[in-house]
Amino acid sequence: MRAYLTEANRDLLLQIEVVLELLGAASVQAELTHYLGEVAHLCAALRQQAMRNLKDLEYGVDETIDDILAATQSLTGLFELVNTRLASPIVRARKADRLGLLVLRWLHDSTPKTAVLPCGMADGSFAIYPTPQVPPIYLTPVTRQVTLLYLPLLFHEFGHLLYACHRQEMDDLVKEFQRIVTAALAPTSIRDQRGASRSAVFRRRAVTAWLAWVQEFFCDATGFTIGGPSFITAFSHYFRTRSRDHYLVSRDEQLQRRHPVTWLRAKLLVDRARRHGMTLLADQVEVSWAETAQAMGIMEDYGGTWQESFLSPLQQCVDDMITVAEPYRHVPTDVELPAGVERLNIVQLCNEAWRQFGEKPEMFRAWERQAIEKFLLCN
Amino acid sequence: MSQEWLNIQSFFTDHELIRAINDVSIFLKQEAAGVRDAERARLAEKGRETLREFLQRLEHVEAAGSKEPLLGIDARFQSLTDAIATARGESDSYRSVLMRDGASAVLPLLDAQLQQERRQLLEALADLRRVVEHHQQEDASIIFEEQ
Repeated sequence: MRAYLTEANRDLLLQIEVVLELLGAASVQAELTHYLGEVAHLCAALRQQAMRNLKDLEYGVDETIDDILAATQSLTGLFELVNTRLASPIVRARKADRLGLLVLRWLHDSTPKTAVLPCGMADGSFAIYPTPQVPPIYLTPVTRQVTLLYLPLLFHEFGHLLYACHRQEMDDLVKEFQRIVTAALAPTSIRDQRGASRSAVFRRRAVTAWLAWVQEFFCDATGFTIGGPSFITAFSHYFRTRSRDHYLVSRDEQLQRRHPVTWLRAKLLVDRARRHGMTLLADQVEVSWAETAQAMGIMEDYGGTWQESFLSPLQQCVDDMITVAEPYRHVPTDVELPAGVERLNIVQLCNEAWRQFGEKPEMFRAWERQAIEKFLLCN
Repeated sequence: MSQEWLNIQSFFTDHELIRAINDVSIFLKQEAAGVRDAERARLAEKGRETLREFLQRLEHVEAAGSKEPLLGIDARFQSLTDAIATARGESDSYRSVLMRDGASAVLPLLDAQLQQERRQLLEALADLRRVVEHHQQEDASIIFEEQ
């Protein structure tokens, strides 16, 4: 066994060296160099762990073999993550990444806690890996990386990073809301033991699910706070006609998901937009979701996980979380461009893109190409 | 907007826990065999702190019982504590003090100096590692799409 483990750790050392070679040989945009440094640093830590395993094997203490086996397996898993996820934004880097990387760098620079963090971008459905142990990677579908309309969905993902940076305060705020859910789902009368047991299990699972769900509502609110109309429009267009399960999900399925039902998320965004005076946009989004649901023959039903009485305390909770995280807040000139403005910031660019897309859809792609080119030249 | 990041976070959390278990376990066994290694001692101290934090959280969950809602506990951590609770019911497979008496019985053993207490700690850590490794494998299967 000792020989097998020695071989496995030597192989890991070799693989880590190869990744480091690839990182060293990669040609990346300036915005990605900080991320590259962090991944190289992580690889160095993995190399140290493999060398530590080899040293422990050399001591020849038989009782430690099972521990070194576990350490080797754990290290192999972590290396696999580097090899399949973390190295990818560097090794696959291309010139066209610059637009997305500029957006991400601007987002990170917009708050003190995130300004010091590197970021990488990889292909995939919109997502982020905001773990404290590794630099954040933003996943973005290929065509969305090089076009403007859905870039605001990255603002939502940035919300996850803000949550991770302020975890303790955020968790404390969410716990307050969980108390409200706990009280609301408490049985009013107990008629039979089996029913009471089922109800207790549902309540426990629902309260746990709400921890993740509140984070999603916070991320949506972060997207709206940063991007204003561009975020709510991107969100609505992206999900509205995607599939039935963005409207209706069985209770059991909901409790296994980390996202609340998308229709409910749209409703909370509509409520937020109304509270910010965007009544026309709010009405349009609300009607479009209702009409799409009707076309699919779907009635609103959250299986008891949602009650209208949650709305006000939930929005208050999310407002408090926004106050803690302090993301960039869009201003009126991000939505209505001042006359003669030449150099657009990213929020202005996204809002203008949706306006152009709405007014002149057939001319949009040509306008978008020019706008991106100009934006990249100015930054 | 994917579920995967929760699995990645959970994967890392489990990794930290397994590393802490390994570091403490290897240190105690090497010391018992007469090996002195300053780096190992440092790693073991760090590992003890990670384990203390985890066992205190687990103690809190165990005290709440299986049906009371737990605030501030994410679904993956809850599934880990559920797995530990299930293991505690399998006394033929899991016989350590952790499985018999719960996290509160293991916490004082972290700083044990007596050989017998250290043996108890090693048994508890081995049982805990089995459960955590299984839990981490669930995440790994989702992340790396192994079937």
